[in-house]
Amino acid sequence: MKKAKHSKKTEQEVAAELAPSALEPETNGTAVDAEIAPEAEGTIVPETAETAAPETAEAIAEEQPAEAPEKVKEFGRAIDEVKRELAKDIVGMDDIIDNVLCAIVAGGNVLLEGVPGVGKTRLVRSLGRALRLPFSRIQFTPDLMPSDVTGANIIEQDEAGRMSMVFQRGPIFANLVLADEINRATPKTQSAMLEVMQEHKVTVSKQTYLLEEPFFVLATENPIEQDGTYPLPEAQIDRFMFKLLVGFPSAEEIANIVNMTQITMDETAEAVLDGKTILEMRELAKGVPVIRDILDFTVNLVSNTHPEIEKTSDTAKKYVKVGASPRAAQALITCAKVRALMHGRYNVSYEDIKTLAYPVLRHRIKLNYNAISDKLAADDVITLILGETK
Amino acid sequence: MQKGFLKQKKKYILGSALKCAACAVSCGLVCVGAVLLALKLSAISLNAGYYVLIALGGAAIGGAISFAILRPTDAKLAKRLDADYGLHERTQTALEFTNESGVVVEMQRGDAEETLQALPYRRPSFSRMWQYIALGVLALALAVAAIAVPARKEAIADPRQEPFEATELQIVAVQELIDNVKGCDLEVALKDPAAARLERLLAEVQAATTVGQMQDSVYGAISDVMTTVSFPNNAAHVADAAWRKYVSYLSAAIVNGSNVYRKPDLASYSGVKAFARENADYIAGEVAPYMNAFAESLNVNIANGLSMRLTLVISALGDTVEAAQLPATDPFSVTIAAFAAQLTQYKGMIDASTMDDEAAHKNFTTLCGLVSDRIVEALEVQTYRLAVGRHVDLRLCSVFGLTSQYEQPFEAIGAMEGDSVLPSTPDDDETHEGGIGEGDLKYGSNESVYDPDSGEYVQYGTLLGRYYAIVEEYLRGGTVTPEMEAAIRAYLSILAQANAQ
Repeated sequence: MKKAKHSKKTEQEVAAELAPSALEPETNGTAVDAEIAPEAEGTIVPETAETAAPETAEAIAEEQPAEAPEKVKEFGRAIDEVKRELAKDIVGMDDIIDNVLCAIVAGGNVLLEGVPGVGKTRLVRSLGRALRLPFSRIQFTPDLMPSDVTGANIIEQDEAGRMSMVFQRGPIFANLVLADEINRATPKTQSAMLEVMQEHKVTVSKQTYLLEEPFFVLATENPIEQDGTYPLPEAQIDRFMFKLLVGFPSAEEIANIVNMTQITMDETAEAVLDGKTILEMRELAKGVPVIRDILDFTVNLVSNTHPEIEKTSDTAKKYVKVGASPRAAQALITCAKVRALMHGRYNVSYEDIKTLAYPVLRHRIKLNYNAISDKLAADDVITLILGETK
Repeated sequence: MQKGFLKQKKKYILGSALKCAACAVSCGLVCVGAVLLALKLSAISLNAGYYVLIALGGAAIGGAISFAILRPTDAKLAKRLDADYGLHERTQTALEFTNESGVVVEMQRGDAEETLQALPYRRPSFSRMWQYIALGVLALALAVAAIAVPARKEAIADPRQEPFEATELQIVAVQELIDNVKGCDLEVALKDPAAARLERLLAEVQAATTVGQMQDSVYGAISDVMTTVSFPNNAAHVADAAWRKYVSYLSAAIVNGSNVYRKPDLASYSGVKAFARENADYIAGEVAPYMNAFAESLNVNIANGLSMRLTLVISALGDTVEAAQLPATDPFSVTIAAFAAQLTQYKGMIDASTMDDEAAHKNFTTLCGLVSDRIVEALEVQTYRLAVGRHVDLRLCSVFGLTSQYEQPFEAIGAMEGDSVLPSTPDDDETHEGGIGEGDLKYGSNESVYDPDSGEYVQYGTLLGRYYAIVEEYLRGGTVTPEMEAAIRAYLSILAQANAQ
């Protein structure tokens, strides 16, 4: 199969980051709601894990080259199947599901803002079932320690009475992790969590443990109870690819939820994809072409969020205190490619960028007092900036 | 991607071509309209061929510029296709990544081609074509307005250089004038040359190309006709001679009898005919009072020097004929000569004491009446000539819009206006003016009169004495004939007698 010239560099980067899932047993975290895979002993992965990764990445890239076009064609169909399965357990939240799937395929993490009881946990559970991926849920509290998230070495005594140090994996060792109310944890715990999100590996006592790909974190923030919380700093919040707003369901949706859960509270979604397929899809998405005009548009869009730039938008000058980082542009393009394939297209369009601008930018721009006094939300400002961007 | 793209490309190229054509036409019209308008306002005219070249040049420039701007490049076409059909940048992507390889890239190209192939063929999208049409309409309106605007006429420094072309009406009017002149009552020797001159005028005005040529021709013809018709007239000359010879009543009669032709209805030929019918009465009305006054001035008693007076009058009449150099057959010459001869006869009878005062005065009245009739006859002919000439003048000026230059064609040197000759308040003791010896002796010797030599008022007797001395010295010079010397001395004696009284 021909390799996409555009993605040759990134292939190697991805290969270096991929965990050697073939050598790793399925694992789960030690936190509440451990799912699917039983506890497994921590496996020490040598520092040269990168040697395995390229094989995996290339294997994925070169496996059955003749079937790659078919896989591209089935990209959207596969996503639709996942959505159909999720619809069995989740009522509404179509946009949320679309964006979450997009983020998973793109390799990013999502910050979800919504009131309790809207189905955030259920969503991640159902996703885990549909994607056949281990799932874990971490409930962040102010007393949660970093080791509670990542795991720690414990002393274990065997039957013979010999003592040895064994690494007990934390709940982070899953493919899908729900970090509930992340803003309630202390900055130290947040930092540990976010580092894992960024690096996809855990280092404890000089030992590094790679996390299995695909690795996806869905973090939540409770917008109601802000007392005693530790808002994520800008540098940390920037690591989330998306910030999604979960609205309160409509009356009809609530009725459907009630009807559904009267039958069973358990998730009924069936597996239709697996992690390997997700990684294949991620690789394929990298090959989606983006025209220069759209690239320039994206760059201009991000630049127009910065009030300090001379030729920026008037909206940014008036309402924005801090603009989006270059990660926003990366996120836009990466997710736009995935979105294009999800919608059955093979190229990125302006519509993809404009649609994804909201989840990508709303948590990355900080508004000033003018916006507050004019009662403008981040989405309103993004709309204005989109209008000024050519 | 080629086939589908090319299929759609043709459509857009056609649309762009039409827009370029619309721009070219508009530009051509604007150029022509602007140039035409500018030149018209500057009173400059160009050959129509130049405007065609300007239009073609403007169209070429407009077409080239619009082609450079509207030229449908592949990138523009791709963008246009994606926008028009909602293709989500399929075409642009396929075009930009034409030479790239990769699974997705190749699939994208195939997808773009399929999509383009499947697009329904609609007629070319003339987006914003109405703007081009509006531009064309505006350009056309400018061109039409430029054509409709009248050219500014260059202010001609010399009005005479303005172009002229005789109209049909003018030609007909001149021909009618010629016919009228030929049919009038002028002598053949006068009307034939006048008519011939008018015919020459007709040819000249038809050939004239400027106002100046027309004016010269018309004024020249008028002058020639007036000269022709008035050449035989000698009334002014006779009146002037009479005045110089102190026959003032006769002079005034002739002058006033000649002015009756100045009537405004002479502008029409019917007015000329009316004038001819009523001329004699008009003249008689003007001449008679002066001749009556003349007769009154001769009513001096025999005892008071009637004979001497008659001598002076007869001499003055003879001098008048001589001064006017009238031929013997001239009506005025005959009339004045006859008048003088009759007075001579009367003088003889008075000297012979065969005619008393009453008879003499009665005869003078009758004689002056007859002279008046003869003067009227002579003036009737001459005034008719002037009337015809005046008619030609007024008619030609009217036809060609000119101003008559013959407001006072009749001038009599030294001629007095009418009433100044006639006595205002007749008095029994007055002696009427009429020449030498007919002075008004109403001043007494003690009356003060103005002395023109000293510029002072002196006694009449003193002034008279000085004049006596001057006359005496002149008479001693021997330059006067004995008869004239006798008449002078007789006159002076009458003055002396009157002064003594």
